[in-house]
Amino acid sequence: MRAYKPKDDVQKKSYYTDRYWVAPQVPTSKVEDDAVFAADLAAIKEKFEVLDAYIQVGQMVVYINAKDNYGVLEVLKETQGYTQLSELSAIDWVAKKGEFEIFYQMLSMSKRKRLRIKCFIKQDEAIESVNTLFRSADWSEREMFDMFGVKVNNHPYMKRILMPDDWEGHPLLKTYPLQGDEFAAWYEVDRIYGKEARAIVGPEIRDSARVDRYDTERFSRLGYEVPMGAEPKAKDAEETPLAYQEEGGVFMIDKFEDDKAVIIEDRKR
Amino acid sequence: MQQPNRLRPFFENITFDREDNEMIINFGPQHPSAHGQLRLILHMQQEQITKAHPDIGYLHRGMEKMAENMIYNEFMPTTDRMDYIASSSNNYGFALAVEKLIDLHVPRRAKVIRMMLLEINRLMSHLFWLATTALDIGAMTIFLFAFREREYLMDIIEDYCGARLTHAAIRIGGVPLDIPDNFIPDLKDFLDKLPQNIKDYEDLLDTNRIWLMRMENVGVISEEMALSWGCSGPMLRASNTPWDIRKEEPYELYDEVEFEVPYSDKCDNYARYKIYMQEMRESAKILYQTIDMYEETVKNNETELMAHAPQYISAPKLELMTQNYSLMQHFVLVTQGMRPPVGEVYVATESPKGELGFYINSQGGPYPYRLKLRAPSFWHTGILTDLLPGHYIPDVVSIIGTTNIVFGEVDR
Amino acid sequence: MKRYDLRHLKDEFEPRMKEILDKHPAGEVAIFLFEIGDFTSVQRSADLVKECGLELANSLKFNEADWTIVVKK
Repeated sequence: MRAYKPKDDVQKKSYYTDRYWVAPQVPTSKVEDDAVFAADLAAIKEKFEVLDAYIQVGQMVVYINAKDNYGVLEVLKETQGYTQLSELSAIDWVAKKGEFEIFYQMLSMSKRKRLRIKCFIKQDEAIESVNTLFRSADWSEREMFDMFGVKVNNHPYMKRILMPDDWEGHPLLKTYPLQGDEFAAWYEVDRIYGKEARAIVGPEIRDSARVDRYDTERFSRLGYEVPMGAEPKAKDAEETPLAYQEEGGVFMIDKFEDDKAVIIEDRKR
Repeated sequence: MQQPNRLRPFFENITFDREDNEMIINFGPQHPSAHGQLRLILHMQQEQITKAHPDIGYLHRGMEKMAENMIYNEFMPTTDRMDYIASSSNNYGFALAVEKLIDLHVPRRAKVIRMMLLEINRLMSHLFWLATTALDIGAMTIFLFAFREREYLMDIIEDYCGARLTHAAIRIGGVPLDIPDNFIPDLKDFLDKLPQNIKDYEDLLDTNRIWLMRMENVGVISEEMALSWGCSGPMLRASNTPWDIRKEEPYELYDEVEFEVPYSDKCDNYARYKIYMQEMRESAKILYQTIDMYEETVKNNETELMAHAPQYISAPKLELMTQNYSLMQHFVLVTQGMRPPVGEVYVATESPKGELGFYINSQGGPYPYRLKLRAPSFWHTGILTDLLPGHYIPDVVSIIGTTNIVFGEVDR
Repeated sequence: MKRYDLRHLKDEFEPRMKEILDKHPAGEVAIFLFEIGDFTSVQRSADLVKECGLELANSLKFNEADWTIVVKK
């Protein structure tokens, strides 16, 4: 019977893990330790429900409900002085919880603080766009949709940004193999020549160092050169050595005279 | 009448008989001054642009996907290919993010060498920017001068890590090699000549009528627009916000080094140009101080180059060649990779282009569960959608020049 | 830690190794790689390190034709 391979997370996993090894946690501290963060958290807590909040590696992480992401970001931008949305992306927990985790990395220049707003949405749920608050979210949300398939409501130009527009499948999902699925392998052949040309063109040659000695259109053998596309020379044909220009051989390839060469110690500036 | 078929489709974008004769042209993926593969679709009324839509993704290699299938050290050479003009700053960004995740203390000599590499990379990147922007606008001599300067810097970097473009010169936990003997003399005599060279470029460009016409109040990014679009680095500092991560959130040894942060409130291309030139002088100043710091570490004999954390970083070469247990641990770290604790971290560093951020979410395995690369040029390309309408075609070239976008890090 | 490859000198690696060891900074580790030849070079290198007053941390066979020693001041 063929070995069962889990299909929900096909990314690489370590081939050995000690049976009794428990991964340590990055230390987190309470929000009250830092006055600035505590004030920000209080401002958020007034209007919105905060599921969890802690400080990790010097930055506050706040978990909120997905539906009031616009409101929280507005509060932070207007009242708390977080003037820049550095980053916005998703994390794929579909295998474990069937959810995406969306995080907004905010930066406050006046307070020199960075914080992360995180929320969970179900796999087919949509999230509200924040590009009216921060124009940088426009492209980030397009990339998030392109890479994860997270749908974003009332976004000005919701189309793929990195992959071609007619690409099927979202590459950064854990179910998407690294080398690409069948659609990715045949994308170019389908678009240019059509599906039926797959057998004629043949699969993509991924090994960039592959040499086929009998294919005289793309390769040629030193010493046994034949015109392009002609029959390669027989095995026992005599070799035509690479003669230098001085010996009446190939033009422009002449011997390297040691005495003429000069080694530049320090380039005169 | 073209015979449209699948290989030669017929674009109906040049039609003169329509009433509003709007022209759609592709500032195509293959364009001499596109700084890489940028396909900018411009809707134009005669020479003026009414709508701009940058279409990116031509250099997308799926770095974040690769990161999820590579152990941490294995990913280091990939970060070179992000911003390939200044690859050591990407290496450093990634290394710092992982070090913050596993809370590592890097020895002082490694920190000084890293600072030198970072500032040399900043100089290289700024010289490359000056060369390409000047060439786009037509100043051929500046192009040749700046590349000649950059050549000497590349030789210095090549002496250190053997590569000119993709350095991979920084490891997680420190620096793999000590600097060669001719490193400091070469660097010194380069730095002695640099101020004179920068003055030459400025004499050539500052009051040049063509340069001023092409650069002054072209591509004006208001402060609010820069903040809203997530700009960083010289783009932000030209719009009246003196935010430099090296000064505001000092990492490495930037708090022990004096340097100023040039910023201006003119918000246009010319301001960005002046900021880049001033930053070159600041980097030279920093490099002088790092040379003194290095001599000081040699004096009080601090020779370790890598951090000492047996479960994350393999032991230094002496222990590896002599102790058996450190060799076994080295083997496990190389084959299976180190396993950071469960947790996440976002670390931003000041790359020559802007704020380069690494978000790492690790679930205890040797492969990061999610690695998001925050590339500054991504949003500097995005801002073109709001910035270009109203400008003319020659302005597009100079705006793309001063945004200093590199497509290795836009498409990742 | 600096690595020195003396394989191209074949058997006359000693003068070059002595020169390196003399200007060797304190606390630094030097790793030499040289040809084995007829196995006398192994003993010669050990004696040279002893004569220069440095500590021979390790002396290993690198592969069929090369030998490596780790020297520490």
